[in-house]
Amino acid sequence: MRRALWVLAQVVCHTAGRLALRLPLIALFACTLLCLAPGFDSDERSLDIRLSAPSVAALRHAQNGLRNPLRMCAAYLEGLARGDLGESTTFGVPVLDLARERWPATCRSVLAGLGAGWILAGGSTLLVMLWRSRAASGAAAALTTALICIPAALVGTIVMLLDGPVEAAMAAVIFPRVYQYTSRVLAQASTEPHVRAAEAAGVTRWRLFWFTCLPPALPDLLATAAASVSMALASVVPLEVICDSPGLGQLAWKATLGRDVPLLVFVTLAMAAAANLANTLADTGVRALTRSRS
Amino acid sequence: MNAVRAICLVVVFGVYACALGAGLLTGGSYELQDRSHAAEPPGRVHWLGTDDLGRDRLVRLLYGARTSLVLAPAAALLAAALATLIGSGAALAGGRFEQAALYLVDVVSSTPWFFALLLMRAVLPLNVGPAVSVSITFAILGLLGWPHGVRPVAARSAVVIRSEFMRQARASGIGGLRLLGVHLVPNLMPVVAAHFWATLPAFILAEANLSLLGLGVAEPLPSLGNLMSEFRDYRVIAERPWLLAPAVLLIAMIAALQLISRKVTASYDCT
Repeated sequence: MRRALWVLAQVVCHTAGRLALRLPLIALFACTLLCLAPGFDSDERSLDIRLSAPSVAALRHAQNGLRNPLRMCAAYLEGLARGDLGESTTFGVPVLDLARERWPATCRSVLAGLGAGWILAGGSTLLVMLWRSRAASGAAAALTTALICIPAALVGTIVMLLDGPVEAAMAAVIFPRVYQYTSRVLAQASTEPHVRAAEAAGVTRWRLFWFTCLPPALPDLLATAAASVSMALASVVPLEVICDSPGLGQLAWKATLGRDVPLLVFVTLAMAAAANLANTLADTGVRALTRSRS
Repeated sequence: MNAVRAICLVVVFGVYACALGAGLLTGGSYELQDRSHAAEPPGRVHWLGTDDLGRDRLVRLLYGARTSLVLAPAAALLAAALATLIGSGAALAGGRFEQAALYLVDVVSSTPWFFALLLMRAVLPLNVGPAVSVSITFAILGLLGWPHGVRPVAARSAVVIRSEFMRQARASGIGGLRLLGVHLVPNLMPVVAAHFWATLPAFILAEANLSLLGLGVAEPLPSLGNLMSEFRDYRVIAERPWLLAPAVLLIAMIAALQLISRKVTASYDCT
């Protein structure tokens, strides 16, 4: 029990340390992107015909003064440390309030979508591996290739036409990608000499899969799990917009349409933090698996 | 498999030929309005019908395909060039510089890129024309698409740098840009080509997603993405299924590109 707590504390410290190191760099990256964007110095207010030329010039000058990624990032991180993420220019409320309101919907759709996508992909891979029919693997490959070719927003549209929830759309986006990775990893594992030897010794396909193919493939599958979190987060915006789900993705879309920089920077950082968290946990898992084997 | 690849090649070349020759094939402009036949279903005059402004859907589809299929490869080329420059530069510098560069690349690539895309898209100039807007959209895709290619390029560069011919070139006094341009980069081409082929469908899909959300190519210029923007009200598909034509073309094109590039991208996975 004490050892388990010690391991857990180590994992938490490692994850927190890595996030603390990476998040400021990601914030700097986000600020650099904003400052480099060609329209950073343009302000919607400058299109107001009632403003005189000197007023427009003053607006431009004020906006240009912010064009320093380091200064912008430092100011943002200082606010973040104080728990002040700024105010949304679109909604006129603190960004933190909006985030509190919206994150449960995104969390629900991402977790449910990932779960359903992995169950579908894992089940299909298992079926194809146990059945060993060329027709089945060909059909699965054709289906997943076709699904990968559909933009996430269109997947959302199709799911809406079928009266499905946003979680189903998320699962439809995750399933083909995860299936292609897992089937490739497990197919590679099944060609290893020790698997062939076990097969020749008469081990059943079921036992072969669980006890011979799966264990060496676990590190790669963990890495795939982390990658699938990034895939899910990347499709959050189109799916939530099309499926009208009030989550962070829809918020990011509205922020983009309204040039709401504080809100957009926050959502980007939150998504990057979630992706990094998944990557760090997967890395820790892979390291633990490798250590337990050696 | 060869037959499938041959069919895919025919599809890709066919679509490119039609898209590039859109002006010759249709003899009209994508902006041309036929106000007496607005919002019409497919017929003998307008094979795919007309939109609410009376513009021929087939003409717009061909011009839209041109926008997406010409600019996406340009963006993929830009991303591949940046990945090559940064990856090979880091490998040439070696040591702590290489480690630091690759760490930064890891940080950048761990940021979900659609959000990075939205960040840049949000602060685009307010009063630019459609042509500038479409160029900026694809330039952003190119500028943000390089991080995933850097590690394979750096790994391959490290192998090439340690090779006999590179040592000989260095011993002969060749250095700097000549070493990079004449000896290193040509030997990175398989990895760079794989990165190009892997990002090309991703960019076409990203443009489609952005434009479908109203954040990509601006009207009146058509693209495969913004031709699908009517799908935001998903009920129209059931009423007017011919609106699916851009989606069908997009899916066929991406599938063909993926099947053609499978061999090249498989080598990329191994590096």
